[in-house]
Amino acid sequence: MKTQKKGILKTLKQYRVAYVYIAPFYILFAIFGLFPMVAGFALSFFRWDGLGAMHFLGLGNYVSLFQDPLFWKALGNTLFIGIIAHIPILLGGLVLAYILNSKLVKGQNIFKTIYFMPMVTSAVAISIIFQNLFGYNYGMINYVLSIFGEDPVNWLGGDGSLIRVAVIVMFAWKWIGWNMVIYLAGMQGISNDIYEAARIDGASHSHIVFKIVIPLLKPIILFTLIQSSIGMFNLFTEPYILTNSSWTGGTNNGGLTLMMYLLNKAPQGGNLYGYASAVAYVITIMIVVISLILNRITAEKEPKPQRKGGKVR
Amino acid sequence: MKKQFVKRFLAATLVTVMTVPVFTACSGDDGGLGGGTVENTTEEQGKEIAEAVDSDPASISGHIEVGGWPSGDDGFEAALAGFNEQYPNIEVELVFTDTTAHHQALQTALAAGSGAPDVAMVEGAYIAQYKDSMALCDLNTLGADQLKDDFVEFKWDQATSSDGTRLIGIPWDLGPTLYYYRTDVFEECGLPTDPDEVADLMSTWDGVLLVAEAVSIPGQRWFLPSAAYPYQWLFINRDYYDEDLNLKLERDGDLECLQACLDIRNNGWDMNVDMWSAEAYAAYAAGTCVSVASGSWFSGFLKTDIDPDGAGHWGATRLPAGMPDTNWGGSFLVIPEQSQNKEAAWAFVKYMMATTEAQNTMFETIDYFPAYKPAWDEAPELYTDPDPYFGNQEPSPNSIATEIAGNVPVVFNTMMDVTAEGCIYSAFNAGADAGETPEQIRERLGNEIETACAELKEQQIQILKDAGVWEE
Repeated sequence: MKTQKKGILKTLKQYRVAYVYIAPFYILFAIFGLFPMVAGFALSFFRWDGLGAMHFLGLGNYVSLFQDPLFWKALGNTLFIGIIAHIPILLGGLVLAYILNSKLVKGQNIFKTIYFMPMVTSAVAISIIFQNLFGYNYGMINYVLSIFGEDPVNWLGGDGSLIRVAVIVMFAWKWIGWNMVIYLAGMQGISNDIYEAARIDGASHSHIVFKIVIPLLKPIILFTLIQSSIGMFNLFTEPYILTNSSWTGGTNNGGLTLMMYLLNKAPQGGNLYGYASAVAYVITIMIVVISLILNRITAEKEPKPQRKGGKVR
Repeated sequence: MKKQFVKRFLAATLVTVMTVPVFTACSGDDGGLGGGTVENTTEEQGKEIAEAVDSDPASISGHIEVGGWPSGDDGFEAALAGFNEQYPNIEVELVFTDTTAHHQALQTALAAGSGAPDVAMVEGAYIAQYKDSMALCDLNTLGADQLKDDFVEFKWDQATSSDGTRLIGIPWDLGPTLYYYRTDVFEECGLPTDPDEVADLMSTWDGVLLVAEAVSIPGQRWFLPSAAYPYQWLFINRDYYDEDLNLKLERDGDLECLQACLDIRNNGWDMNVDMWSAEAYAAYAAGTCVSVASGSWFSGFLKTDIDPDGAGHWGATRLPAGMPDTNWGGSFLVIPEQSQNKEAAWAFVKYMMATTEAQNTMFETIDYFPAYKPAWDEAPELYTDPDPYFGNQEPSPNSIATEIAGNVPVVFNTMMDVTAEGCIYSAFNAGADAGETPEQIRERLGNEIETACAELKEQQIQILKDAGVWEE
């Protein structure tokens, strides 16, 4: 330990000019990133409405949080929506990327643009379209159902269970293109020689996908998995829009997600700053745990780092 | 191996560190842990300010920032010429954004102790969060107590602190609750269209159901956006809690009301959508959703946004089924203690809120119904003149609203009210979907509100304790 410390000091001295160059980022980060983080953590032990006196609660906020049935409901919804939605998002993204990359279709750039479009479309425009799609009386989906003689389905009302379906559709629609672009970039990084060699050897598409593309894309798949799990916890806009800005997530809290729950506590619904900070920290810890688990799973399956050029790692 | 673990740990920490600001930024707590404290205006300072504003308007100069949300800015712009005639040396800058963003920014600025405008609008639903805040100037020290009798009592009460000593805002407008209906559809169905006759016909739940059945064509035309709303109208004063913070959901005729709501739902006479949804908006304009109730400011919504071409086919009257006269929303003006120019700020608030000239100019421009009572008598024609948009109905919507405004009782508001209100719609829908009885729905609503408001209630109790008005 001691030697390590000495080492750090030595490096600091050795590269001090370089450290000055990178200092602006760290200073700004300390002010706008680190300070709020620490302050937020401290705040999570207080009851404070942002205006009056602060009252120390100890772990009170965390205790009430874990006792709140709405928190568990929000967590359940978030996991359900996140996990189900990421099946089409990740698999669909992969398939689309493969189709575009293997030149099965023409007009690659047009498709790329089309699939990426939802990411850059304004949330207001999207909300109008999806409210129209899932509307009860005038919705397009219900119109199609009525053609087949079915009764209209109250997607966003009813007993609240179908809100999640609508959220999943909207969420998947939005993120599939993003993941496709990432996978596509990854696939283009795989040397063409490998594909060609495989094709010459008579490999089918499924062979190429499972034996070449997926193994070689592993780091990128891991990246999208971590991104997706963070995105899952950040899920807010879609359910908020679809439940018409209802902070409780619509009927039976069917569309309540963790991020909605957090923002409802402060600053957008209520003004429970201490409680909201506690929620934020619980969400953060969950993200860390999931990221660590994902890292571990994939690290174990990867071949152990080998000696390279005689240097032992 | 160890090194690798350290590396991995560092990487994980970095990932975490990158995501955390997202949350902390959202929770807006960078105001520091001290909570910005500002010194409160003393009585002497207050007297000086009041003196300057009243006796020597020209002596007050400087620049003030006024914050709020549309269409308040249109109102202020219209009345600004009159203000500058009286106070030629005050320069007013309007900083307007949408309602949510405005309140969020105001809240953060007050907590931080700097960055708030000199005068800020606060919406009726939010005022209970602020009424005990020391970050806002006690307007009584500036002489506001002398204006008390000129304002509608329940609004004044909403801006008064829990211990009754401080006043943090001057009421701007009211929203007397009106029932809006499509006269063309009523006529087509052989129903009366005159506001008094409609009110008579719908004075009982049987009458309401009769109208609902007459106008509805299941799947094509509906009586209401959602059957949950008549039940919500019972609570629209937002008086969900009594002064001991007990939920008081039981009120006269609530079970009959819920039963009627269930009948409307079960017969398919409502659209079963939120009244503010795109679907409902389209249906109001198309005449496929035949009626809706809201604060009188909804007239402005109809005219400018929802149904601009609808002149002549809308009517407005009192709430049906003998429901008491109520108020739906309406805003206030507050002066943050951090303002560096309270003289100019108070001059602005006093002129805009407590002169008939300004209030009526703004009423004409943006339909904000003044809480300042002298304005009603000063220009009675504004309130009684027939409104062509409403087919020149007699009495006009505004004169009905004036009558209602006089009857709204003083109520007890809390910071839980907004959340509680949101529960009504979802609890009714869930209960109706599960085939529950009115009693069961009321019980379900009680549980939902208690769960959703648990933490807010703790905060409210803390604030009342801090104000010295809470006994265990």
